[in-house]
Amino acid sequence: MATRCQFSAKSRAFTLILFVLHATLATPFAIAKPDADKTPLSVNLEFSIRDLELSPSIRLQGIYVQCENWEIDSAKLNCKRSTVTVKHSPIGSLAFIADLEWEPSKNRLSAVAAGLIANKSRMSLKYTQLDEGLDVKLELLDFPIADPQKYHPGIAGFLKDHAINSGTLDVTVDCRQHQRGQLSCSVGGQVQSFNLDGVNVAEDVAADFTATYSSTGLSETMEFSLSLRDGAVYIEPGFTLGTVNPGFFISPAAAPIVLAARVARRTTGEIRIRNASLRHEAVVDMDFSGDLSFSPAPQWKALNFRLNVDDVSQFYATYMQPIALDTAFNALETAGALQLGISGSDNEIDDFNLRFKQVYIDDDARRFSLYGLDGDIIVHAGEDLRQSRISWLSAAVYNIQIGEGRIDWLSANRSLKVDSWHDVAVFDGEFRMDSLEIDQFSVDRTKVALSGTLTPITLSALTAAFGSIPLSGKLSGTIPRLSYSENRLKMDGDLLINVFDGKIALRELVIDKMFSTIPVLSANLSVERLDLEKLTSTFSFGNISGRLDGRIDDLVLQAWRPTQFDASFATPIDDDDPHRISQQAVDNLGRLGAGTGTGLSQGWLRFIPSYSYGRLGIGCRLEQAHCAMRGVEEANDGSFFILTRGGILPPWIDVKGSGRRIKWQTLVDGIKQISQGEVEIDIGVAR
Amino acid sequence: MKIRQLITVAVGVCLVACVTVNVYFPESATERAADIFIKDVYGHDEQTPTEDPGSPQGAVKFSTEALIAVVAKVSDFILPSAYAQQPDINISTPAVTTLRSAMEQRHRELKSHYDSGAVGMAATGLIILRDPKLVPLQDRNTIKKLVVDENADRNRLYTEIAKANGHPEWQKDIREIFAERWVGNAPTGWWYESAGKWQTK
Repeated sequence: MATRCQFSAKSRAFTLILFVLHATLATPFAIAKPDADKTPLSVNLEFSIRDLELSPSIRLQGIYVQCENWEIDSAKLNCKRSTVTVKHSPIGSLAFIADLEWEPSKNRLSAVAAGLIANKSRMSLKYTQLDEGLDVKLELLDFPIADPQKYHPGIAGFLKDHAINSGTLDVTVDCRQHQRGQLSCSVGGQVQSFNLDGVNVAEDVAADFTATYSSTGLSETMEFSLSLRDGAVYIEPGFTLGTVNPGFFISPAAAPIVLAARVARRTTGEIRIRNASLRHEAVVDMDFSGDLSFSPAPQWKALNFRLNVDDVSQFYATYMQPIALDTAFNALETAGALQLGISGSDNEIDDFNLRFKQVYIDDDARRFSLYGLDGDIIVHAGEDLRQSRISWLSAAVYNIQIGEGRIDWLSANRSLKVDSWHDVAVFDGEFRMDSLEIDQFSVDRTKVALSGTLTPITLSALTAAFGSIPLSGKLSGTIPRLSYSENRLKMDGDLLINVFDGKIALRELVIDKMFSTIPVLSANLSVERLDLEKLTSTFSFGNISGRLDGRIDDLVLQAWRPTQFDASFATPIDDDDPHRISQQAVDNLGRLGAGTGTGLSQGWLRFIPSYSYGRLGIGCRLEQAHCAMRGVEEANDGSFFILTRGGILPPWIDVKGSGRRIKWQTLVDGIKQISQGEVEIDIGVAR
Repeated sequence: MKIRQLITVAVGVCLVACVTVNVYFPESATERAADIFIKDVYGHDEQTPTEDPGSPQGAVKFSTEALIAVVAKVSDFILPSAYAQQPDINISTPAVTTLRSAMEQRHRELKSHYDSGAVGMAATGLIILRDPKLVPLQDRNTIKKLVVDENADRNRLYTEIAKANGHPEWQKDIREIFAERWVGNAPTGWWYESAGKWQTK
């Protein structure tokens, strides 16, 4: 018996299926029922549907179904090797062979189909419906995923501003729905030659993936893994740090990069994360597990985090630099390895262990460096004291070179204290620390405070490092409390420097935006009884004997160059030291004061190598890149004396300054040239 | 006759008496300073047109300036030298010099991205990574860093110039003039933002 049907339908799928089944089966069942020996009835079923709209976005055209051997008996209905073709569907033409079996008494329906999509992709489907549940297994091989919105317009909304330009998908989906709402699904497969354009980008990606999902009445569990085998991705997770939306460029080298996690959610709202991991061979291994509850407020009931960085350089470039782009740490040369372990409960960290192995950090902008960092920092919640230690081979803050050092830590009750330390070399001297405190460990809030004494440093090394006027002699001093936090260095108290047999006191030192492009330093300085002979013998200014007092008020340096100060230096009125000045020094003072030499080296005066003087002094108020000059005494003609007459016997000399306003840079260049014994200068005095 | 003389004298007295000393934002001086600074940053090998051919305001601005100059001359005649002479804008402070040096160096890396159109000049006086697709994936973070650093320096620059010239409140005006001059001094083919739309010079 053959039944041929012709439909032209635009209806919902389920309605159609029911209609077809009803129309084709009602009669055969009626015929089969009185048959005592239950010999199955064989029917040849063939029908076509011209146009079938399953949903506004899923439309099938040119459907043809043929079942040559439709067997029907009282218990079941089955059709083996039926042919189904669809000329047009959202995923292309379809052609497959299907087996169908239905046992109404057991409420069992099974369908097995295998075929081709668009004459290229292979598809197989196994569908079983039983009283106790539903079982579906779908396999797609070599399925094209470019422009997926053509399959379903809703995908465009999911992709947002992204476009899949190419790629193929192999996927196996296996889902079971049991009675009482239990559901489990597993998905596995791979994508090949996957290219995605948009904020997130994939280039020629080959990746494997697996995912499982199961739900019971009490919880849902999801487990996934993603393995990036080839190609490259650029991922912007969508958060903003500073002015930047960080993005991560990830490309596997020798081994795949694997991301995996298992997440369970209970009906109570608690989320349990297990085995969350990132494996990036030779770069980083990360594991995380934690329990997050939301009642009464969100909090980590428990957490465990482990990070193993084999190559700090790769780790920094791939995972850290992108989130540090808007900070002072956005251009570091790094090397070494590190490990981090954190465990905690009830939103508190119980154990923190950071271990460094030969870590090197070098700021491209030369603001700081740290070489050969080794050791541990341990913080724990217990009451017992735990020791840890870090050490380094050398370090630098701007041009200040710091030698090998070590800090020993003690931790208990979630606090970390400095226990002891190794005094560090600073240039050729040493900084002997009386105290060192470090609090609030974080990238931008760490507070460091220290105090101590600086043993003599050769000034030539210091001035050479800062590129300033070369000085000889030694520098030593006491550093009161020096504290650093939030990119601001502040000194409480006075820094006393013993230099040139006198004292320099640095007061109210503050460096704002310390690790920015333009650090701003402000301070006040006073100078007390420097030995001029020692000072002037350090560079080729010419010898002067006597003492020097002075002060620099309201000093402001931007990018380490002065923009403002009010400075004055002079020999003290009650100075008992002999006051002698060499011919060269007088000549150079003349250049400072009047822009030209004094001419002492000509005529008979050249036979007198040095002169007595009364007082010596010079002042400058720097504003708007110009120095308003003053001397030790005002002259009647509107000029000022830099050097006044002294001594009982002639020849007497004085040096007058005539220019009140001098360009600061010209003055600095002039002093540099004088100190290096170079050519005469023209300091462009404004007369 | 007496009345006319009285009125004349009264007007004269008023004109002389109504002298107000105002400190105006020195627009022309700032433009000159901006041009000097920007040409240093762009480098001397850049094609730096004197006027922005793409700027729809070029011609209008010229005539406005000419008109202002005429009015100023007349005013000078009536109100002799009542306000401060327009000063030069100081762009040689240590901070500005440091910024210029950093920006010159960075520009060498940014130039190819301006040329390609990946980076464009925003109307805010900053730059934007306007088309990341033009940058290879592995270089995306490098260009992002260049843009972040450049914008941080530009923001500091406008603030520092205003501060260095004793008028922190000029920062906004300085930014606007720089925004215009970055475009004005740029070679043809570079992208800039105008009235919310991107276009090439």
